[in-house]
Amino acid sequence: MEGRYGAQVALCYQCKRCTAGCPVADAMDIRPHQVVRLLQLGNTERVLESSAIWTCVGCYLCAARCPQGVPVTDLMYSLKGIAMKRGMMPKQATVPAFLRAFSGTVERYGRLHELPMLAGFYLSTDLREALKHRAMGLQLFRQGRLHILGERHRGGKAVRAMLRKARSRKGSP
Amino acid sequence: MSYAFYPGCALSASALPYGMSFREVARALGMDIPELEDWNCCGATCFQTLDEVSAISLSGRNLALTERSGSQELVTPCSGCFAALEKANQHLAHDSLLRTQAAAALSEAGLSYGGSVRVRHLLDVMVKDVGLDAIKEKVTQPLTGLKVACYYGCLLTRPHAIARDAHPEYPVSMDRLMAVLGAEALDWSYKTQCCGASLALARPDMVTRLTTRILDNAREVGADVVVAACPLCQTNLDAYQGEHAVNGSQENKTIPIVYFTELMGLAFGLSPRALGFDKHFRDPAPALRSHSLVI
Ligand code: SF4
Ligand code: SF4
Repeated sequence: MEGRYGAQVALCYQCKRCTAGCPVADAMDIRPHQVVRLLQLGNTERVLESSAIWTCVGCYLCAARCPQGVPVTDLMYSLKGIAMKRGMMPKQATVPAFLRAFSGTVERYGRLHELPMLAGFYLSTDLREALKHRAMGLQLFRQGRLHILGERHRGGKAVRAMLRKARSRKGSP
Repeated sequence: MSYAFYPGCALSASALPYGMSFREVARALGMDIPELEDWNCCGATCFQTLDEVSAISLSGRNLALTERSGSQELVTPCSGCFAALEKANQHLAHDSLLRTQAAAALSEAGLSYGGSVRVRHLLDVMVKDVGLDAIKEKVTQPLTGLKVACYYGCLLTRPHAIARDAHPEYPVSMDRLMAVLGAEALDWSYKTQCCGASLALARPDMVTRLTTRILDNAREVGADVVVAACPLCQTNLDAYQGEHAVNGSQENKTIPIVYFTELMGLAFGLSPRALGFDKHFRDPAPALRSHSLVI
């Protein structure tokens, strides 16, 4: 964090434009400008424990409007990644579960197939949630918009080899 | 100029009407835009969170395949794919460390990337390359009287350095396209507000509150339909409307969400079935018929 974005974080002068534009700031325990401030102060722990990073929807409004060019959204993304690597389990545990289900499916097939992704997600969170959405799923299926068997992607093997290599570099997870 | 088309993972699934209408409209316009062979998932924002080199390699593989195919421009109809592919493209051009790491990963997939590809959003290609005049010439059934709210969402206009829209706070390209089709594009306040994007599964609470505000405003200004240019936006706005009613906002009032390519096809007089109009959660047919459009 300090390395990659440190110089940009240092430029924040707490004008709060990021927070003013954020569509979900009121649902966060600490607001985007406070996230940046805590990082300036070196209190990364507090940020990693926050609900804010799991509430951010990644809309880039904060970053687009920041007069100092602080990449607030990219910070939020990397903070999520760091929290996951450290095994920190937020109350909003559905977000890491979704990220795992999504990445697992792409690693396996090379493309995103909805059904295995949905199965991975609901099995690791709450199957009752899936039942709530069954009407939606049925309608998608009837309209030919949800496939039971995703076709195997020819490049799947190459993608797996590539991702293995990407992750095998020094200092990565 | 030679294009390759990057459909993204949703186009043959939840975004089927987008894929169907794109192909019909491209054929009507005589566009040569073959699908990129063997493409893979762009990594979306998911891999950006988990591991940046993986994210850039996933998008980088598509860029490398495009380069190898001899195409100069990679065109995608998905704003999320557009942002991921172009972000990787820029990192690969300007960040030498990431470039080296991604190059090592790409070589495992038997590929290398020289940096020659331009990433484009389909909407931009329609408006700028095909051009509004050429589109206007194809209109046989003008969408007269149809009031539309053009929804751009977040990643079509942000980050600015990636989206490069001349009007990022209040974009107008889709509005101009709709005007050429004969529709009335309305002024409204939520053109670029986020729909919750990929958080639909994990945080339906967030997505519902965001889409409710967007749809309420679209209805307030009198829109018949909301027009989308991204599978994620369309799905989030369309699928969760039943839940709005439960949450008490604008009870029982729904509004159809259509893709800009569907309206292009309708104005061109193409078969509504072939355009996929029957594959939505909220059926757009009644709103369109009320303006005497054949559907
Ligand atoms: S908008 Fe930028 S400078 Fe202002 S508080 Fe937010 S991060 Fe800091
Ligand atoms: S990217 Fe996240 S923090 Fe920034 S404005 Fe959007 S939701 Fe708020």
